[in-house]
Amino acid sequence: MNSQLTTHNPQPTTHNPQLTTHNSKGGFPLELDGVVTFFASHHAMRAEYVLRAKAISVRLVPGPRELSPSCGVALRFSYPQIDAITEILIEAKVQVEKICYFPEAKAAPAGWRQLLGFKPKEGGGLS
Amino acid sequence: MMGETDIYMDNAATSWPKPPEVMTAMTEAMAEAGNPGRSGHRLSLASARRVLAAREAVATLLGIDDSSRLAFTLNATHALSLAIAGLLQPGDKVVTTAVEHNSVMRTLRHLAGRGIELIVVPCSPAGIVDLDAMRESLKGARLLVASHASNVLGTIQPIELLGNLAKAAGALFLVDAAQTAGAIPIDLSRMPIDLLAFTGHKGILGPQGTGGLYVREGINLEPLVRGGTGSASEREEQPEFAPDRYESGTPNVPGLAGLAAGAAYLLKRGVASVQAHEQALTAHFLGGLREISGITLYGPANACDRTGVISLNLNGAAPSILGLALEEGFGILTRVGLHCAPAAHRTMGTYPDGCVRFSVGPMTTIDEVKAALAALDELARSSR
Repeated sequence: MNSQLTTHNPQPTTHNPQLTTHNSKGGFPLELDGVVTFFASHHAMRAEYVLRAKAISVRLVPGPRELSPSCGVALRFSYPQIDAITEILIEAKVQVEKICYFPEAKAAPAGWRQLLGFKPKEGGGLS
Repeated sequence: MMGETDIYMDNAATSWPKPPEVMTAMTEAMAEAGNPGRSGHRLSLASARRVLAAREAVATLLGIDDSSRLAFTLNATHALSLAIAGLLQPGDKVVTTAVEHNSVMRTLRHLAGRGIELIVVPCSPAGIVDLDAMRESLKGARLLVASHASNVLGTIQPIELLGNLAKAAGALFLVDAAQTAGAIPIDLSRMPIDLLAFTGHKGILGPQGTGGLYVREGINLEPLVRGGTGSASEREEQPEFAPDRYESGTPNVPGLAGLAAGAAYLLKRGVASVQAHEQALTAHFLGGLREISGITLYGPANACDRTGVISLNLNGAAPSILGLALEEGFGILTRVGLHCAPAAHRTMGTYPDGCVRFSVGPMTTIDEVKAALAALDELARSSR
């Protein structure tokens, strides 16, 4: 559905609605390796609302410049849940700019990866 | 909710925390809330007194002799639109600078497509406007619009020089004081400024949804909104007199009560003392940043030439990731990206990638600045 999509790790994920873990130095409990970007922050806020209402773990973050020039907020999610999330967003008439696989680990300095919650894949290499 | 250990470094977006008396004043206004200026009964009068108290307090803060020349608006953006759209006519020439926020730039770009000539005067990478180019550009201009200080670079413009240049050219001078009202002393009774837009929720420490426009006596703007004012009710035409001409509809009385309390806090503490506090923090911040290898710092070198805004990048990391790392790892809240000011980022050479902006406020402590420096030092070391 999107040329930017690449293969993903299909392992099931566990849900934790409390994703803000600052000062834990452990980063996110989940690998939030998918990103939704929006043209308007109204839709970003509404996306968070409707997804959390369905007990899906998401996190609003500063929009990655690589994906969108508008520098608003973006929504990170666990990529294996893309189908369920897409369905919920369409159902709720949330307007999105892009939905894509975006492991920010590739862009982040190596020393920050644990801090940002990017866990190494089994067998080495980053997600 | 802010955690106990969170460090708020986004005062240029909105000041936090507010003095507790701001919240108290808003609650009291809600408990005694008639429609101000609409009726003669005691609840209406109680609200009207609160609006007057806000007008008087902000007028005192900004050195406005006649508080009727101060019109309340929703925010600085609303005030800027009122001033610009209310003044300019097709055929007019307007001049601005290359560090303006989109609150000015989008309004002017819109008008530039509708018969108004727009000149954007360049600035140095540190954000200081080219005064020779300004003098030349102002010839035949109707209006000069300039921010008192850049929301990205923190650079304070030589506002009195700009006002004198405008005056010499016969142009009116509109100042965007969104970043400075309440943070830097402003005395409109002696500064060469014709119109000044401010917001209530930054330096003045009031709530969001409050702001205003000062309009020098003798200037009559076309209103942005027309309607009921509680005055001249026998007429179906908009009143000519200020502030009613610019204030149609029921105002935000709880918000203005909070604004009055914020202004009262500042009058007691002193704007000059707040500025000294923020300058000391900024000087410490700038000094510490120079010790960290990998930091690219923007704006003037000296704290006395800037507001409490410190914008930077670190070792080429994407600003969105640096902002996330600061929050996740250290609980430090900043603003990343382009800060609604693409012109300023072009001027400083950070367009389109942006930067990370720290901004201190009246409640920021030296320990918080030290924690921010320690966090940046750790991130710099681990990013090499």
